[in-house]
Amino acid sequence: MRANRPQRLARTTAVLMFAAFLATGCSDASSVPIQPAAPDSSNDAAPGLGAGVRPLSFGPGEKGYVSFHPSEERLAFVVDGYAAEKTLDAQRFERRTEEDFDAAGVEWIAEDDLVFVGRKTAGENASEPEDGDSLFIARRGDGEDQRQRLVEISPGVQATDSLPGGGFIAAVPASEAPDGAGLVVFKERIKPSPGTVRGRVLGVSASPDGSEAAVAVSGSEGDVELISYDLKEGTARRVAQLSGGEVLGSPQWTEAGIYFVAREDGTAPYTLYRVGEGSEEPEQVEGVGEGFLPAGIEASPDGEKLAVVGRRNASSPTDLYVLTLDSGTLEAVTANKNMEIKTEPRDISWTPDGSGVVLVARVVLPEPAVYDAPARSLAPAFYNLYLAPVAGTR
Amino acid sequence: MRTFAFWLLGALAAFFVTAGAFLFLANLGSDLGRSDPIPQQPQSATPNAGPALAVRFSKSRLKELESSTEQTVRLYVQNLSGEEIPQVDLSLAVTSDSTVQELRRDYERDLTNLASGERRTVEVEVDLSPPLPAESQDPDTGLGAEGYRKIIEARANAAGGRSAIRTAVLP
Repeated sequence: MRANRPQRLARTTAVLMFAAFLATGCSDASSVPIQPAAPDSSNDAAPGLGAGVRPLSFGPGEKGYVSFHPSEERLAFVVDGYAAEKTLDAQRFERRTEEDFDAAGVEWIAEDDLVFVGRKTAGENASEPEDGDSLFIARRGDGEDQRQRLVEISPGVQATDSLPGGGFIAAVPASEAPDGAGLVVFKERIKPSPGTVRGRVLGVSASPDGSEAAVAVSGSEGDVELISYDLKEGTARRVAQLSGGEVLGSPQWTEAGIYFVAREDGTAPYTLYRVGEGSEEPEQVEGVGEGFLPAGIEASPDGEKLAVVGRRNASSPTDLYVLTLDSGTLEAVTANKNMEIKTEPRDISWTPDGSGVVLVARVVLPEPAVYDAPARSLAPAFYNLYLAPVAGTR
Repeated sequence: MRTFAFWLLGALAAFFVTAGAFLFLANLGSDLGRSDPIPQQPQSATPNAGPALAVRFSKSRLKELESSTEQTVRLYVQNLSGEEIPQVDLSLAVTSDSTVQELRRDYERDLTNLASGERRTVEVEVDLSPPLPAESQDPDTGLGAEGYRKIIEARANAAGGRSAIRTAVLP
Protein backbone atom coordinates (compact mmCIF):
# COMPACT_ATOMS: atom_id res chain seq x y z
CA MET A 1 0.00 0.00 0.00
CA ARG A 2 1.61 3.26 -1.09
CA ALA A 3 0.69 6.71 0.28
CA ASN A 4 -0.72 9.23 -2.12
CA ARG A 5 0.98 12.57 -2.81
CA PRO A 6 -0.70 14.67 -0.02
CA GLN A 7 0.14 11.95 2.46
CA ARG A 8 3.75 11.84 1.39
CA LEU A 9 3.91 15.65 1.59
CA ALA A 10 2.43 15.66 5.10
CA ARG A 11 4.81 12.99 6.29
CA THR A 12 7.78 14.75 4.80
CA THR A 13 6.74 18.06 6.37
CA ALA A 14 6.31 16.47 9.80
CA VAL A 15 9.63 14.69 9.65
CA LEU A 16 11.37 17.87 8.54
CA MET A 17 9.73 19.90 11.34
CA PHE A 18 10.72 17.32 13.91
CA ALA A 19 14.23 17.06 12.57
CA ALA A 20 14.51 20.85 12.52
CA PHE A 21 13.26 21.04 16.06
CA LEU A 22 15.71 18.41 17.26
CA ALA A 23 18.53 20.06 15.39
CA THR A 24 17.86 23.57 16.69
CA GLY A 25 17.04 22.29 20.16
CA CYS A 26 20.21 20.22 20.42
CA SER A 27 22.48 22.85 18.99
CA ASP A 28 21.03 25.47 21.29
CA ALA A 29 21.56 23.27 24.32
CA SER A 30 25.13 22.48 23.40
CA SER A 31 26.04 26.10 22.69
CA VAL A 32 25.31 27.28 26.20
CA PRO A 33 28.13 25.81 28.29
CA ILE A 34 28.90 27.22 31.70
CA GLN A 35 31.01 30.20 30.91
CA PRO A 36 34.25 30.42 32.88
CA ALA A 37 34.79 33.54 34.87
CA ALA A 38 36.14 36.30 32.69
CA PRO A 39 39.74 37.30 33.32
CA ASP A 40 39.81 40.18 35.72
CA SER A 41 42.81 42.43 35.89
CA SER A 42 42.08 43.04 39.54
CA ASN A 43 42.98 39.50 40.59
CA ASP A 44 45.57 38.82 37.92
CA ALA A 45 43.92 35.64 36.70
CA ALA A 46 46.10 35.49 33.60
CA PRO A 47 49.72 35.98 34.52
CA GLY A 48 50.98 34.79 31.16
CA LEU A 49 52.78 31.63 32.28
CA GLY A 50 50.27 29.18 30.85
CA ALA A 51 47.37 27.08 32.08
CA GLY A 52 47.46 25.79 35.62
CA VAL A 53 50.21 28.09 36.83
CA ARG A 54 49.02 30.08 39.84
CA PRO A 55 50.55 32.80 42.00
CA LEU A 56 51.57 31.94 45.55
CA SER A 57 52.47 35.46 46.61
CA PHE A 58 51.24 38.97 45.91
CA GLY A 59 52.37 42.54 46.20
CA PRO A 60 55.62 44.45 45.74
CA GLY A 61 58.99 43.07 46.79
CA GLU A 62 61.45 40.94 44.86
CA LYS A 63 61.05 37.37 46.02
CA GLY A 64 63.51 34.54 45.55
CA TYR A 65 65.44 31.68 47.20
CA VAL A 66 62.41 29.48 47.83
CA SER A 67 62.52 26.72 50.43
CA PHE A 68 59.59 24.35 51.04
CA HIS A 69 58.62 23.00 54.44
CA PRO A 70 58.51 19.17 54.26
CA SER A 71 54.76 19.26 54.94
CA GLU A 72 54.25 21.22 51.68
CA GLU A 73 51.93 23.53 53.60
CA ARG A 74 54.47 26.29 54.14
CA LEU A 75 57.30 27.85 52.27
CA ALA A 76 60.05 30.31 53.16
CA PHE A 77 61.74 32.75 50.84
CA VAL A 78 63.74 35.94 50.69
CA VAL A 79 62.06 39.29 49.91
CA ASP A 80 64.27 42.30 49.22
CA GLY A 81 66.94 41.04 51.61
CA TYR A 82 64.77 39.77 54.46
CA ALA A 83 63.41 36.30 55.12
CA ALA A 84 59.69 35.57 55.12
CA GLU A 85 57.39 32.60 55.37
CA LYS A 86 53.78 31.86 54.53
CA THR A 87 51.33 29.04 54.27
CA LEU A 88 50.86 27.92 50.71
CA ASP A 89 47.46 29.50 50.09
CA ALA A 90 47.74 32.58 52.28
CA GLN A 91 47.98 35.89 50.46
CA ARG A 92 50.11 37.57 53.12
CA PHE A 93 53.47 36.47 54.39
CA GLU A 94 55.20 36.87 57.74
CA ARG A 95 58.52 38.61 58.01
CA ARG A 96 61.08 36.52 59.92
CA THR A 97 64.19 38.71 60.00
CA GLU A 98 64.63 42.34 61.01
CA GLU A 99 66.16 45.37 59.31
CA ASP A 100 69.58 44.72 60.83
CA PHE A 101 69.98 41.43 58.95
CA ASP A 102 70.73 41.03 55.25
CA ALA A 103 69.27 37.66 54.28
CA ALA A 104 70.71 35.84 51.28
CA GLY A 105 68.87 32.57 51.85
CA VAL A 106 66.60 30.66 54.19
CA GLU A 107 66.27 26.93 54.90
CA TRP A 108 63.86 24.84 57.01
CA ILE A 109 65.63 22.81 59.68
CA ALA A 110 62.77 21.38 61.76
CA GLU A 111 59.05 21.69 62.27
CA ASP A 112 59.02 25.40 63.04
CA ASP A 113 62.63 26.45 62.81
CA LEU A 114 64.32 28.28 60.01
CA VAL A 115 68.02 28.75 59.42
CA PHE A 116 68.98 32.02 57.77
CA VAL A 117 71.91 32.55 55.45
CA GLY A 118 73.17 36.12 55.59
CA ARG A 119 74.92 38.66 57.76
CA LYS A 120 74.22 41.17 60.49
CA THR A 121 74.43 44.73 59.18
CA ALA A 122 74.14 46.63 62.45
CA GLY A 123 74.70 46.25 66.15
CA GLU A 124 76.73 43.63 67.90
CA ASN A 125 78.34 41.04 65.56
CA ALA A 126 77.75 43.19 62.47
CA SER A 127 79.93 42.14 59.55
CA GLU A 128 80.99 43.49 56.18
CA PRO A 129 79.87 41.98 52.85
CA GLU A 130 83.41 40.80 52.08
CA ASP A 131 83.29 38.65 55.24
CA GLY A 132 80.76 36.43 53.51
CA ASP A 133 77.52 34.99 54.81
CA SER A 134 76.97 33.01 57.98
CA LEU A 135 74.29 30.63 59.22
CA PHE A 136 71.92 31.93 61.89
CA ILE A 137 69.10 30.32 63.76
CA ALA A 138 66.25 32.18 65.47
CA ARG A 139 65.99 31.69 69.21
CA ARG A 140 63.45 33.23 71.53
CA GLY A 141 64.90 35.21 74.42
CA ASP A 142 64.65 34.10 78.03
CA GLY A 143 62.55 35.60 80.79
CA GLU A 144 60.65 38.75 79.92
CA ASP A 145 62.58 39.28 76.71
CA GLN A 146 60.74 36.88 74.41
CA ARG A 147 61.81 38.64 71.23
CA GLN A 148 63.29 36.52 68.53
CA ARG A 149 67.05 36.80 68.30
CA LEU A 150 69.33 35.49 65.63
CA VAL A 151 72.17 33.37 66.91
CA GLU A 152 75.12 32.64 64.63
CA ILE A 153 75.75 28.92 64.36
CA SER A 154 78.41 28.89 61.63
CA PRO A 155 80.42 31.71 60.09
CA GLY A 156 81.62 31.88 56.51
CA VAL A 157 79.07 29.56 54.92
CA GLN A 158 80.02 28.85 51.31
CA ALA A 159 76.96 27.09 49.87
CA THR A 160 73.69 25.50 50.99
CA ASP A 161 70.98 23.36 49.46
CA SER A 162 67.70 21.92 50.71
CA LEU A 163 67.45 18.19 51.38
CA PRO A 164 64.53 16.42 49.71
CA GLY A 165 63.03 15.12 52.98
CA GLY A 166 63.56 18.31 54.97
CA GLY A 167 66.65 19.95 56.39
CA PHE A 168 69.57 21.13 54.33
CA ILE A 169 73.24 20.63 53.58
CA ALA A 170 75.82 23.40 54.01
CA ALA A 171 79.47 23.83 53.13
CA VAL A 172 81.27 25.65 55.95
CA PRO A 173 84.95 26.42 56.61
CA ALA A 174 86.84 23.44 57.98
CA SER A 175 88.78 24.21 61.14
CA GLU A 176 91.35 21.50 60.42
CA ALA A 177 91.94 22.62 56.80
CA PRO A 178 92.20 26.40 56.28
CA ASP A 179 91.90 26.07 52.50
CA GLY A 180 89.10 23.56 52.63
CA ALA A 181 85.47 23.16 53.64
CA GLY A 182 83.43 20.72 55.59
CA LEU A 183 79.98 19.47 54.66
CA VAL A 184 77.33 19.52 57.36
CA VAL A 185 73.84 18.03 57.17
CA PHE A 186 71.22 19.89 59.21
CA LYS A 187 68.16 17.75 59.78
CA GLU A 188 66.71 16.67 63.11
CA ARG A 189 70.24 17.19 64.38
CA ILE A 190 73.44 18.68 63.06
CA LYS A 191 75.59 16.00 61.48
CA PRO A 192 79.05 17.01 60.18
CA SER A 193 80.42 14.73 57.51
CA PRO A 194 83.89 13.34 58.12
CA GLY A 195 86.69 14.67 55.96
CA THR A 196 87.05 17.94 54.12
CA VAL A 197 86.75 19.23 50.59
CA ARG A 198 89.83 21.06 49.29
CA GLY A 199 89.11 24.49 47.85
CA ARG A 200 86.16 26.85 48.10
CA VAL A 201 82.76 25.26 47.59
CA LEU A 202 80.77 27.03 44.86
CA GLY A 203 77.69 24.84 45.04
CA VAL A 204 76.42 21.67 46.70
CA SER A 205 73.42 19.35 46.46
CA ALA A 206 72.61 16.07 48.19
CA SER A 207 71.14 12.78 47.00
CA PRO A 208 67.56 11.99 48.03
CA ASP A 209 68.73 9.62 50.79
CA GLY A 210 71.28 12.14 52.04
CA SER A 211 74.20 9.74 51.65
CA GLU A 212 76.00 11.49 48.80
CA ALA A 213 76.57 15.03 47.61
CA ALA A 214 77.53 16.67 44.34
CA VAL A 215 79.95 19.51 44.98
CA ALA A 216 81.48 22.19 42.75
CA VAL A 217 84.80 23.42 44.10
CA SER A 218 87.00 26.30 43.01
CA GLY A 219 90.62 25.18 42.97
CA SER A 220 93.69 27.28 43.70
CA GLU A 221 94.53 27.71 40.01
CA GLY A 222 91.10 28.93 38.99
CA ASP A 223 89.89 25.56 37.81
CA VAL A 224 86.51 24.23 38.83
CA GLU A 225 86.26 20.65 40.02
CA LEU A 226 83.10 18.60 40.32
CA ILE A 227 83.19 16.12 43.17
CA SER A 228 80.98 13.25 44.19
CA TYR A 229 81.22 13.16 47.97
CA ASP A 230 80.26 10.24 50.23
CA LEU A 231 78.79 11.98 53.26
CA LYS A 232 79.02 8.91 55.52
CA GLU A 233 82.58 7.94 54.73
CA GLY A 234 83.88 11.45 54.04
CA THR A 235 85.51 10.39 50.81
CA ALA A 236 85.61 12.49 47.65
CA ARG A 237 85.83 11.38 44.03
CA ARG A 238 86.54 13.87 41.28
CA VAL A 239 84.09 13.43 38.43
CA ALA A 240 85.09 16.36 36.23
CA GLN A 241 87.55 19.21 35.98
CA LEU A 242 86.78 22.40 34.07
CA SER A 243 89.87 24.41 33.16
CA GLY A 244 89.02 28.09 33.11
CA GLY A 245 85.31 27.39 33.09
CA GLU A 246 82.41 28.67 35.15
CA VAL A 247 79.72 26.66 36.87
CA LEU A 248 76.31 28.26 37.37
CA GLY A 249 74.68 27.34 40.67
CA SER A 250 74.99 23.95 42.29
CA PRO A 251 75.65 20.68 40.46
CA GLN A 252 72.61 18.43 40.90
CA TRP A 253 72.84 14.87 42.15
CA THR A 254 70.37 12.68 40.25
CA GLU A 255 69.66 9.02 39.62
CA ALA A 256 71.26 9.42 36.19
CA GLY A 257 74.47 11.08 37.32
CA ILE A 258 75.49 14.61 38.17
CA TYR A 259 74.02 17.43 36.08
CA PHE A 260 75.46 20.92 36.00
CA VAL A 261 75.35 24.13 33.97
CA ALA A 262 78.72 25.51 32.89
CA ARG A 263 80.50 27.45 30.21
CA GLU A 264 84.07 27.41 28.98
CA ASP A 265 84.77 31.09 29.57
CA GLY A 266 83.03 34.26 30.64
CA THR A 267 81.53 35.03 27.25
CA ALA A 268 80.38 31.66 25.94
CA PRO A 269 76.75 30.62 26.47
CA TYR A 270 76.00 28.20 29.29
CA THR A 271 75.44 24.54 28.47
CA LEU A 272 73.80 21.70 30.41
CA TYR A 273 76.20 18.84 31.10
CA ARG A 274 75.96 15.41 32.66
CA VAL A 275 78.59 13.16 34.19
CA GLY A 276 77.43 9.56 34.39
CA GLU A 277 78.22 7.08 37.12
CA GLY A 278 81.90 6.06 36.94
CA SER A 279 82.69 8.60 34.24
CA GLU A 280 85.04 11.57 34.45
CA GLU A 281 84.07 13.03 31.10
CA PRO A 282 81.16 15.51 31.08
CA GLU A 283 78.85 15.17 28.10
CA GLN A 284 76.37 17.70 26.77
CA VAL A 285 72.80 16.74 27.54
CA GLU A 286 71.23 16.11 24.16
CA GLY A 287 67.65 15.83 25.42
CA VAL A 288 67.30 19.60 25.69
CA GLY A 289 68.03 20.08 21.99
CA GLU A 290 70.69 21.98 20.12
CA GLY A 291 71.00 25.64 21.02
CA PHE A 292 69.22 25.30 24.37
CA LEU A 293 70.30 28.00 26.84
CA PRO A 294 70.00 26.75 30.43
CA ALA A 295 70.19 28.78 33.63
CA GLY A 296 68.92 27.54 37.02
CA ILE A 297 68.48 23.79 37.46
CA GLU A 298 67.16 21.66 40.32
CA ALA A 299 66.75 17.92 40.65
CA SER A 300 63.35 16.59 41.72
CA PRO A 301 63.03 15.12 45.23
CA ASP A 302 63.24 11.56 43.85
CA GLY A 303 66.23 12.45 41.67
CA GLU A 304 64.48 11.26 38.50
CA LYS A 305 63.68 14.63 36.91
CA LEU A 306 65.49 17.91 36.43
CA ALA A 307 63.76 21.30 36.43
CA VAL A 308 65.52 23.69 34.08
CA VAL A 309 64.87 27.39 33.56
CA GLY A 310 66.09 28.27 30.12
CA ARG A 311 65.37 29.08 26.50
CA ARG A 312 64.97 26.73 23.55
CA ASN A 313 67.22 29.04 21.58
CA ALA A 314 68.42 32.62 21.63
CA SER A 315 65.15 33.98 20.23
CA SER A 316 62.81 31.95 22.47
CA PRO A 317 61.24 33.23 25.68
CA THR A 318 62.53 31.97 29.01
CA ASP A 319 60.44 29.08 30.28
CA LEU A 320 60.50 26.37 32.91
CA TYR A 321 61.19 22.90 31.51
CA VAL A 322 61.35 19.47 33.10
CA LEU A 323 63.79 16.89 31.77
CA THR A 324 62.82 13.29 32.48
CA LEU A 325 66.22 11.72 32.97
CA ASP A 326 65.65 8.09 32.05
CA SER A 327 63.92 8.90 28.75
CA GLY A 328 65.74 12.15 28.03
CA THR A 329 62.50 13.92 27.12
CA LEU A 330 62.10 17.63 27.75
CA GLU A 331 58.68 19.12 28.45
CA ALA A 332 57.76 22.76 28.80
CA VAL A 333 55.99 23.38 32.11
CA THR A 334 55.23 27.04 31.43
CA ALA A 335 54.07 28.80 28.28
CA ASN A 336 55.59 32.21 28.78
CA LYS A 337 54.19 35.01 26.69
CA ASN A 338 54.95 38.22 28.53
CA MET A 339 56.73 37.40 31.77
CA GLU A 340 60.27 37.85 33.04
CA ILE A 341 61.21 34.60 34.77
CA LYS A 342 64.09 34.87 37.22
CA THR A 343 66.93 32.58 36.23
CA GLU A 344 69.05 32.49 39.38
CA PRO A 345 69.75 28.92 40.51
CA ARG A 346 67.88 29.16 43.82
CA ASP A 347 64.83 30.85 42.33
CA ILE A 348 63.20 27.54 41.46
CA SER A 349 62.17 24.87 43.95
CA TRP A 350 60.35 21.55 43.65
CA THR A 351 57.43 20.87 45.94
CA PRO A 352 58.39 18.09 48.40
CA ASP A 353 56.15 15.56 46.61
CA GLY A 354 57.56 16.47 43.19
CA SER A 355 54.17 17.48 41.78
CA GLY A 356 55.17 21.03 40.92
CA VAL A 357 57.89 23.62 40.75
CA VAL A 358 57.83 27.11 42.23
CA LEU A 359 59.41 29.84 40.16
CA VAL A 360 59.66 33.63 40.40
CA ALA A 361 58.36 35.92 37.66
CA ARG A 362 56.84 39.27 36.86
CA VAL A 363 55.15 40.73 33.82
CA VAL A 364 57.16 42.61 31.22
CA LEU A 365 56.23 46.28 31.37
CA PRO A 366 57.22 48.21 28.26
CA GLU A 367 54.84 50.98 29.34
CA PRO A 368 52.75 51.83 32.42
CA ALA A 369 50.09 49.34 33.40
CA VAL A 370 46.93 50.13 35.35
CA TYR A 371 45.13 47.68 37.63
CA ASP A 372 41.85 48.04 39.52
CA ALA A 373 43.21 46.67 42.79
CA PRO A 374 45.64 47.84 45.46
CA ALA A 375 49.32 47.06 44.90
CA ARG A 376 49.41 44.53 47.73
CA SER A 377 46.88 42.35 45.85
CA LEU A 378 48.71 42.31 42.54
CA ALA A 379 50.87 39.38 41.51
CA PRO A 380 52.24 39.81 37.99
CA ALA A 381 53.26 43.46 38.30
CA PHE A 382 56.05 42.48 40.72
CA TYR A 383 58.40 39.55 41.22
CA ASN A 384 56.18 36.94 42.82
CA LEU A 385 56.14 33.20 43.38
CA TYR A 386 54.22 30.94 40.99
CA LEU A 387 53.46 27.25 41.34
CA ALA A 388 53.66 25.35 38.06
CA PRO A 389 52.21 21.82 38.14
CA VAL A 390 54.38 19.19 36.49
CA ALA A 391 52.55 16.75 34.20
CA GLY A 392 52.80 13.07 34.96
CA THR A 393 53.15 13.55 38.69
CA ARG A 394 50.41 12.86 41.17
CA MET B 1 -7.73 13.18 3.64
CA ARG B 2 -8.24 11.45 6.99
CA THR B 3 -4.83 9.90 6.67
CA PHE B 4 -3.37 13.34 5.98
CA ALA B 5 -5.04 14.76 9.11
CA PHE B 6 -3.85 11.78 11.11
CA TRP B 7 -0.22 12.35 10.12
CA LEU B 8 -0.43 16.10 10.70
CA LEU B 9 -1.89 15.67 14.19
CA GLY B 10 0.68 13.00 14.96
CA ALA B 11 3.50 15.27 13.91
CA LEU B 12 2.14 18.15 16.01
CA ALA B 13 1.71 15.87 19.02
CA ALA B 14 5.28 14.63 18.66
CA PHE B 15 6.46 18.22 18.40
CA PHE B 16 4.75 19.33 21.62
CA VAL B 17 5.71 16.23 23.59
CA THR B 18 9.34 16.63 22.63
CA ALA B 19 9.28 20.37 23.22
CA GLY B 20 7.78 19.77 26.65
CA ALA B 21 10.44 17.24 27.46
CA PHE B 22 13.18 19.67 26.51
CA LEU B 23 11.58 22.47 28.55
CA PHE B 24 11.40 20.12 31.52
CA LEU B 25 15.06 19.22 31.14
CA ALA B 26 15.98 22.89 30.77
CA ASN B 27 14.24 23.71 34.05
CA LEU B 28 16.09 20.88 35.74
CA GLY B 29 19.30 22.44 34.46
CA SER B 30 18.46 25.83 35.94
CA ASP B 31 17.82 24.21 39.32
CA LEU B 32 21.26 22.66 39.16
CA GLY B 33 22.67 26.13 38.76
CA ARG B 34 22.39 26.58 42.49
CA SER B 35 25.29 24.17 42.96
CA ASP B 36 27.35 25.65 40.14
CA PRO B 37 30.97 25.34 41.24
CA ILE B 38 31.84 28.59 39.49
CA PRO B 39 30.87 31.33 41.93
CA GLN B 40 28.36 33.78 40.55
CA GLN B 41 28.30 37.47 41.22
CA PRO B 42 26.02 37.94 44.24
CA GLN B 43 22.78 39.71 43.48
CA SER B 44 22.59 43.08 45.12
CA ALA B 45 19.70 43.88 47.37
CA THR B 46 19.38 47.36 45.96
CA PRO B 47 18.46 48.16 42.39
CA ASN B 48 21.11 49.80 40.21
CA ALA B 49 23.75 48.83 42.74
CA GLY B 50 27.32 49.09 41.49
CA PRO B 51 30.33 51.21 42.02
CA ALA B 52 29.24 54.67 43.01
CA LEU B 53 32.64 56.13 42.24
CA ALA B 54 35.21 55.55 39.55
CA VAL B 55 38.76 56.77 39.41
CA ARG B 56 40.90 56.40 36.31
CA PHE B 57 44.36 57.44 35.20
CA SER B 58 45.03 59.24 31.96
CA LYS B 59 47.14 56.54 30.31
CA SER B 60 48.64 58.91 27.79
CA ARG B 61 49.88 61.14 30.61
CA LEU B 62 51.24 58.14 32.51
CA LYS B 63 53.51 57.37 29.56
CA GLU B 64 54.98 60.85 29.78
CA LEU B 65 55.99 60.57 33.44
CA GLU B 66 59.68 60.65 34.26
CA SER B 67 61.57 59.55 37.31
CA SER B 68 62.04 63.04 38.72
CA THR B 69 60.29 65.76 40.68
CA GLU B 70 57.32 67.88 39.52
CA GLN B 71 55.53 65.21 37.53
CA THR B 72 51.86 65.74 36.80
CA VAL B 73 49.49 62.80 37.16
CA ARG B 74 46.10 63.29 35.54
CA LEU B 75 43.12 61.42 36.94
CA TYR B 76 39.42 61.31 36.25
CA VAL B 77 36.98 60.92 39.13
CA GLN B 78 33.42 60.09 38.16
CA ASN B 79 30.23 59.95 40.17
CA LEU B 80 28.39 56.84 39.00
CA SER B 81 25.62 57.08 41.56
CA GLY B 82 22.22 58.62 40.99
CA GLU B 83 22.79 61.48 43.41
CA GLU B 84 25.27 64.24 44.05
CA ILE B 85 28.26 63.34 46.22
CA PRO B 86 29.08 66.34 48.45
CA GLN B 87 32.71 65.41 49.02
CA VAL B 88 35.22 62.97 47.59
CA ASP B 89 38.63 62.46 49.21
CA LEU B 90 41.19 61.60 46.58
CA SER B 91 44.53 60.26 47.80
CA LEU B 92 47.62 59.25 45.86
CA ALA B 93 50.48 57.19 47.27
CA VAL B 94 53.76 56.94 45.38
CA THR B 95 55.80 53.89 46.37
CA SER B 96 58.16 51.46 44.65
CA ASP B 97 58.20 47.73 44.15
CA SER B 98 61.15 47.50 46.52
CA THR B 99 59.85 46.97 50.02
CA VAL B 100 63.14 48.07 51.56
CA GLN B 101 63.47 51.24 49.55
CA GLU B 102 62.14 54.03 51.77
CA LEU B 103 59.88 55.62 49.22
CA ARG B 104 56.38 56.65 50.16
CA ARG B 105 54.98 59.98 49.20
CA ASP B 106 51.35 60.83 49.88
CA TYR B 107 49.17 63.42 48.18
CA GLU B 108 45.56 64.37 48.85
CA ARG B 109 42.86 66.35 47.07
CA ASP B 110 39.28 67.12 48.01
CA LEU B 111 36.55 67.23 45.41
CA THR B 112 33.25 68.83 46.34
CA ASN B 113 29.75 68.64 44.94
CA LEU B 114 30.30 65.96 42.33
CA ALA B 115 27.01 65.79 40.47
CA SER B 116 25.45 62.51 39.42
CA GLY B 117 27.25 61.27 36.32
CA GLU B 118 29.82 64.07 36.44
CA ARG B 119 33.43 63.22 35.54
CA ARG B 120 35.97 65.61 36.92
CA THR B 121 39.58 65.89 35.81
CA VAL B 122 42.14 66.21 38.59
CA GLU B 123 45.84 66.89 38.14
CA VAL B 124 48.24 66.15 40.96
CA GLU B 125 51.89 67.12 40.93
CA VAL B 126 53.96 64.30 42.41
CA ASP B 127 57.60 63.59 43.07
CA LEU B 128 58.74 60.45 41.25
CA SER B 129 62.44 60.92 41.91
CA PRO B 130 64.18 57.93 43.45
CA PRO B 131 65.15 58.18 47.09
CA LEU B 132 68.57 56.69 46.37
CA PRO B 133 71.74 58.78 46.50
CA ALA B 134 72.46 60.46 43.19
CA GLU B 135 75.68 58.51 42.61
CA SER B 136 73.78 55.20 42.57
CA GLN B 137 71.30 56.37 39.94
CA ASP B 138 71.38 55.58 36.29
CA PRO B 139 72.33 58.89 34.60
CA ASP B 140 70.10 58.11 31.61
CA THR B 141 66.91 57.03 33.33
CA GLY B 142 67.32 58.59 36.75
CA LEU B 143 66.37 55.24 38.25
CA GLY B 144 68.35 53.33 40.80
CA ALA B 145 70.74 50.76 39.47
CA GLU B 146 68.17 48.02 40.03
CA GLY B 147 65.50 49.86 38.03
CA TYR B 148 62.73 49.66 40.59
CA ARG B 149 59.20 50.02 39.33
CA LYS B 150 57.23 52.97 40.66
CA ILE B 151 53.72 52.47 41.97
CA ILE B 152 51.02 55.15 42.04
CA GLU B 153 47.98 54.04 43.99
CA ALA B 154 44.92 56.30 43.67
CA ARG B 155 41.96 55.98 46.04
CA ALA B 156 38.72 57.93 45.96
CA ASN B 157 36.58 57.78 49.09
CA ALA B 158 33.20 59.31 49.88
CA ALA B 159 30.70 59.03 52.69
CA GLY B 160 28.63 55.87 52.85
CA GLY B 161 31.52 53.55 52.12
CA ARG B 162 31.69 54.59 48.48
CA SER B 163 35.21 54.11 47.18
CA ALA B 164 37.28 53.32 44.13
CA ILE B 165 40.88 52.35 43.60
CA ARG B 166 43.31 52.23 40.70
CA THR B 167 47.00 51.29 40.76
CA ALA B 168 49.43 52.37 38.08
CA VAL B 169 52.76 50.55 37.83
CA LEU B 170 55.45 52.39 35.93
CA PRO B 171 58.29 50.44 34.30
